[in-house]
Amino acid sequence: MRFKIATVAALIGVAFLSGACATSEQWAEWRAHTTHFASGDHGMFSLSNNMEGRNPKVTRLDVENSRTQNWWGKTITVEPGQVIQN
Amino acid sequence: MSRRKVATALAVAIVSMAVTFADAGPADYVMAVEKHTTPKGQALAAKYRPQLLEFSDYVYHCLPYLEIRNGLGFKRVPKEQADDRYASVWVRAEQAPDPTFAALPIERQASAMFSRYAVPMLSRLAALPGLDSDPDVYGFSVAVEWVKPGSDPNRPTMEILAMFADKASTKAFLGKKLPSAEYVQRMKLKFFDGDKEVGRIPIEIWDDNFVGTYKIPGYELEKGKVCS
Repeated sequence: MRFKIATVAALIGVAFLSGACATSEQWAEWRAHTTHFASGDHGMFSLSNNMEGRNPKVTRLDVENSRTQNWWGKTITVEPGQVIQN
Repeated sequence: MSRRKVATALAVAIVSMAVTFADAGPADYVMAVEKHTTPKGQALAAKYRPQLLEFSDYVYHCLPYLEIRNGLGFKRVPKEQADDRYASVWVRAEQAPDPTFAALPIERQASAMFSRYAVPMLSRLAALPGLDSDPDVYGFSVAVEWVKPGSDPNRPTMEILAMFADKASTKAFLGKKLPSAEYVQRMKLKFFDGDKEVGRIPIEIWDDNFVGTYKIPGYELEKGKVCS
């Protein structure tokens, strides 16, 4: 019985993570089609996720999952304590 | 190892990861009270935790292109002896490479990022109930970071503009009673290019209503949340 419970739990976990991966891909697609910049000359800002007639929806959880998976990897930056002290 | 043990270990590992994903949320971006290094900082963090949570919730849900970094809290200027505490937020602005932005001199890039993101953050921080009249809150601090144009996409170089300003000057600036140039002069300002501290750079502040008006196409706000 315990074996069955563990197996079911594993399957649920796999299903959850598969879902998370799918939404991350969706977020990646959305992000790849993004033009997101601050212009020094005007307030123009455009962001389009409508490619080939598709318009993927993105929730805040998709964004969070993507970041959790360390989207940018390791960055070159200073130690936080150089910028601001706790 | 038996199949039962393998399945159990797998289940525990996967469910733990799933719980981690499920738990991430606005509260994770508020710095814990005990991480503030002085009693004054800790007292402020405890006292204003509800306000900080509300602030974090707003950024999390309404400005998903910004990510709070290194904890929202009551911070201080590095290496300063005085324990002057600033209501502080550090945000990473996510933006795709753009040749127009990349072509700007660094001072203009920093000015653009400050005008677009730091000013609304200052405005929101300054509006948190209680801070204005609290003598233990010295001022406000905002750090904005972004990926340096042209840096290696596999290991991006981050650029950071950090500022600290006292409450009275910030209030006067936000109320349009202090010219932006004067406000910049009064603030402590530092720019970081990757792992190098550049120091103060000349910036300008101009009106930018992006944060207040921009809606991301396709973004679905969580049910029950209101952005205002």
